[in-house]
Amino acid sequence: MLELALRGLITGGVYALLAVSLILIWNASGVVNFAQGEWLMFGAFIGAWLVSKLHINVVLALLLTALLVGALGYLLEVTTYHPLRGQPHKSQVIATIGVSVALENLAMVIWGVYPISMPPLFGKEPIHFLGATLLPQEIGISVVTILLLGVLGLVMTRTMFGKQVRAVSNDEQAAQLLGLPVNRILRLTFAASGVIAGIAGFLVAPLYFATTTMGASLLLKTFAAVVVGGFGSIPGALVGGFSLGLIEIFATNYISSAYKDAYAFIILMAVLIVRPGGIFGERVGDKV
Amino acid sequence: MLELRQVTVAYGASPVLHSVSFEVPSGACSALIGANGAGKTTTLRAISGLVRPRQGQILFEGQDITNWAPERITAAGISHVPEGRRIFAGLTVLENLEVATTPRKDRSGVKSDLVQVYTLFPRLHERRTQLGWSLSGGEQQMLAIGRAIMARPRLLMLDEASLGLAPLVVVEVYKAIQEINRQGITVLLVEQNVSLAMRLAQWSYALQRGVLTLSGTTNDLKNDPRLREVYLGA
Amino acid sequence: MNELATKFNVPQAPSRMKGSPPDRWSQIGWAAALGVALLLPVLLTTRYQMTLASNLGMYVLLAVGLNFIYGYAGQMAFCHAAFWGIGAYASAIFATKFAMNFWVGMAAAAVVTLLVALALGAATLRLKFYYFGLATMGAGEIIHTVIVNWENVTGGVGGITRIPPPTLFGHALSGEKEFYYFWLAFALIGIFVAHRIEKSRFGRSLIAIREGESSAEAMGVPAFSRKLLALCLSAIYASVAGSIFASQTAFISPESFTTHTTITFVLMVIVGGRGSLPGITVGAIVLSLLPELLRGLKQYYMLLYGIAIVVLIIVWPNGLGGALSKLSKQVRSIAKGGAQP
Repeated sequence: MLELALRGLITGGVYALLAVSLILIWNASGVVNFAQGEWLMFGAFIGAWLVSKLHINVVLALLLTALLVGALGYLLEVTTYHPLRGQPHKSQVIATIGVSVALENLAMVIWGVYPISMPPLFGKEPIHFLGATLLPQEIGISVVTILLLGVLGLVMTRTMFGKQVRAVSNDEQAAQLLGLPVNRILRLTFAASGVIAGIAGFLVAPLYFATTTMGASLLLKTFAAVVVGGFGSIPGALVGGFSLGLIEIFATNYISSAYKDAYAFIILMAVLIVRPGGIFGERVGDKV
Repeated sequence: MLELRQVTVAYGASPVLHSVSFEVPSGACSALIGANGAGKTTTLRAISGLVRPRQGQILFEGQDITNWAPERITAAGISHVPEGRRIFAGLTVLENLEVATTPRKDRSGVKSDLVQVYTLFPRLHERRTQLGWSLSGGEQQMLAIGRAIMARPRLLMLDEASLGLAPLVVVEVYKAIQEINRQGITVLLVEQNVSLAMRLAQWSYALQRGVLTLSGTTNDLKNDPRLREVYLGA
Repeated sequence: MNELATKFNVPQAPSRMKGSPPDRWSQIGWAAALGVALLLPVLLTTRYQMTLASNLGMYVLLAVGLNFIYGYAGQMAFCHAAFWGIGAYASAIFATKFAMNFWVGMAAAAVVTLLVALALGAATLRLKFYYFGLATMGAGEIIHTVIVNWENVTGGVGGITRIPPPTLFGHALSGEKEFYYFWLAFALIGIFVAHRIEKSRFGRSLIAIREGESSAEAMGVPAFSRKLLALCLSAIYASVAGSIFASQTAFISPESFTTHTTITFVLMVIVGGRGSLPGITVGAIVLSLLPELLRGLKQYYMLLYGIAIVVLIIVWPNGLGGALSKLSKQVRSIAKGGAQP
């Protein structure tokens, strides 16, 4: 029971990270970025490649991965979002779908069609904790997830950059009138979102094989997490991500494992039909 | 201080402003008046760079700012409090004021300016940790004005600052605007409430369907029989 | 926020569709296209080219079908592949397990798909843009998972094999050429029906909903029921395409009917230009052939496919249809002797 809960929280952490990175861009630009899953996939591939092929130190590899995927985020703003500013959001969203197709196939060009795996990061000896058995890397993953979310929270509330990002997310034109460099802030927001998605990918790499299609399927489930949390709220995305991880693992264990991949979507539809504002409601002033 | 030279603005094919020219004198409080849809807001948007004029020039302190980006115009010393206040709903009062200091180069004066805003609007100090959306309409207007002066402008433009506020709150807000003007900041008001604006402004300009029809000192305009037309929007 | 945004932005006049007089240029265009389509099998030299061509009608039918809910009514439905799959599976099951005639099976499958669309639409069509997109995407994923897991009916991952081909007046269809014309006939009927609907009151009310749902309702358009009808039309088109697809390939498996496939269909409508039948027809043909055309580039081809889509959206935000109508306007004004500024 406890072991299941912990496992659920670990998977949930990955959903939460991806959900938060998605919401960062959504809040700032009003765009649902379909390439977000591919950023995670690139994080997984770059991480696995750096660690298992180039034998780079894990911490360094994590930082490099974050940097490279962050650059992908920056590039998306420059090459795709920026040229389409002023167009309806629908066109921008569709363009990100095109980017996701391109990135998926770019990964295939770089790393080939075969999945890559990352070696276990912190040894193989399982750790026993209150009757639960966990692998060291599962604990490592949760520690990094919590640290990352903590840093993100501090950046968003304590730094000028975080406040600027939130201001642009609230009202882009008012921010422009106050002399905020909106373009630069948007670019950096996309980059920050890429960093988070890249780290999330790095973290899942030792759990699953890195495959070129992993991003798309994780992203679709992350939409469920985002909707549960109420589209547009970062704390909501966190809660949504963790609860999705928990629900998925308990339902798989106690109801049926065949429908493992459907639970997220059943929740997604149920929440949308019953409470489209998300379980935790929407804050006043949020977009949507 | 600010000069518009034959500025024409059009959305799509239809012009909203026709060759508008006027000059805002330094240090004074001026008012741009006119009925709904006369082009007042568009004029402000053109000055702050949100729309590009099709023709004409806008000069600020002798510099041609016509095609500058909005953030560059703000950094040059023009702050625009937009209609509807547009405060950041998800940020606290203090955070709203803090982000507004972005274009400033002197970080040292920020603290004293914050004190100044709080002196001007003690209510903002009381509510400094509250999120923007929880403020009342009047408090939001105060925050919008406070936010604008955190950028240390030399010219402050206010669009419909009295709209939707209770009469007592209007008085409070306009007293603050007067105080700001007294401290040396040039003010340009846009008001539908013509009599209110003219009580405060030394200079007035009247727009009628995109054309500047009257301009001069407020006292001269008050006695002009054509002012009635401006009221009625004919 | 929205209210303020509109206040701050350019006021836009609501675009109104006018019953346009029969347009000579577009008639010539359609006639030329039909001529090429009829002659195409003669023009193609290799078997490979014919194989590629045999399916073009299917993509046109699917894209024109998706255009009802997405192009005209403006609702981003993300479950078109699921409707296609239900049509394919239902008629395959009717044919293999109940030995049902192809045409009866196709009709019965369309009824099944229609019922699913009705239920889904009733539950989700009141949602706003993104939410409706996400809900239908969730529905598509659920339907896919059900197909994978309902093994004794759908055959699970292994799919259904030995599906009999369609029969036409006692003749069982076979060969690429026959299927090419079979698809062509359906695509033409599909386009014709869609064209009639576009010009009807119902079609105009859908476009009014796309341009602004609340103002459409204020004008007396019952938005919800109109959108539901549009979704049902989309589903029926997809279902028919699925039935023919299943009996053409004789084998279907769940992997054809994923969100990934839906996205391909959505891109056809987007690249073609939402609401423009000629644009969408071209879009469906181009996008279904593009991967093949780029295949010479080896592993880079799908990468370029993705990039090409982004570039197309940036260059022609209104799709090929938008670009075409702009071009035809210019041609017309030149023909009239009016100088273009």
